[in-house]
Amino acid sequence: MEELDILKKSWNKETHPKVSAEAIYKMLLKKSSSAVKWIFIICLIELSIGLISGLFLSIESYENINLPFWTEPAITYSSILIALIYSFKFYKNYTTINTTSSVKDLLTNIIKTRRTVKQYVLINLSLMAVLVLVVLTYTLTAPIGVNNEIAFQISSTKDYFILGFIIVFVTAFIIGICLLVYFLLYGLLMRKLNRNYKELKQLDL
Amino acid sequence: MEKELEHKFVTQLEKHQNIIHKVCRLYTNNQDAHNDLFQEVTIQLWRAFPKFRGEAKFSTWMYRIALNTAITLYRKSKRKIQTNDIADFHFKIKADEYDDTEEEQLKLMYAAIKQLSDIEKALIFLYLEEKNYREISETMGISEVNARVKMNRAKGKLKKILNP
Repeated sequence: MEELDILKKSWNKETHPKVSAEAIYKMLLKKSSSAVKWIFIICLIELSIGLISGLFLSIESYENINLPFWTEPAITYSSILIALIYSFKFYKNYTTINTTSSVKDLLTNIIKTRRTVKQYVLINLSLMAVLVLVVLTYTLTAPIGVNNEIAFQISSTKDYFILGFIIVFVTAFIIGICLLVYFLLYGLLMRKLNRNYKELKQLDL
Repeated sequence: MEKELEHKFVTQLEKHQNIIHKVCRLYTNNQDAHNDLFQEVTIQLWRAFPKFRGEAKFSTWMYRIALNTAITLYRKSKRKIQTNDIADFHFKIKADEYDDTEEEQLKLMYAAIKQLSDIEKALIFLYLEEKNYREISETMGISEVNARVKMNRAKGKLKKILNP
């Protein structure tokens, strides 16, 4: 290609304003603004939220609601276990990330790490969905408060449908909002990485 | 110890800085973005420097990190206005013999490269740096055959942009 050869000829002759040693020293003190840094900060926040909520949330909440006895320990222990497993997986993946790897390996490792945390968030959201379903069902149908009132009296099959609809709608709405915020946040951060990764991966097909 | 390491790094970087400038040249559109990317590459190089054992040449090691930063880690700053005005860009070609037509061709060539994907830009960069297909495949993490295929496609795409 003729034009590319012309460029090749001039390529090494091009000069740029020289950056002084002093300016380089100053740069070393600056903070990185890389997308990956932000992805990792958010990953760590997600993992710690999972761990902390697993430890404290279920101890304090839902005391006034007469939930089945297994709900609280099941939620607490499973979320702690999941957070620990995923923290370990995240750390293991994170340590394999190396800027001196090939472009494809670096992208693969970042995306793998990101996928681990994504799985973790999806599991947490599923747990949350189960919790919301259980809490809503019991709040609406079981006797609560001083007068042992029941919020939703079921007297016919139609009532079951209405109740089912309300519960599913509210759960879907809460989870939907969480997912929307989540995917918007990561969609923006991961767009470039995913695009470049796909391009390299497609070559190997 | 840290000071000594810092001094060694800065000396090497000062000497080989043109590699970073050339990567910035292909991946950015204006001087602000160029400076931003230069800084980000420098930070990433400094972070990786303690692990640099000198098995590869400093310059070879720089290629990888500079390209990885441009393709993977760098996020364009939203604070700055992104322009695509090649004429604004500060660069000079050493005053050998070149005429206006050649300069015009070079400008068009740079503008065409800017339209390529990040991966294609990396291949063109490595081609301009006269790297062989083994080095290109190692840097990119793809097979030599695929590097060749992708390179031909990138050149074809450039040709199409230049001669629509």
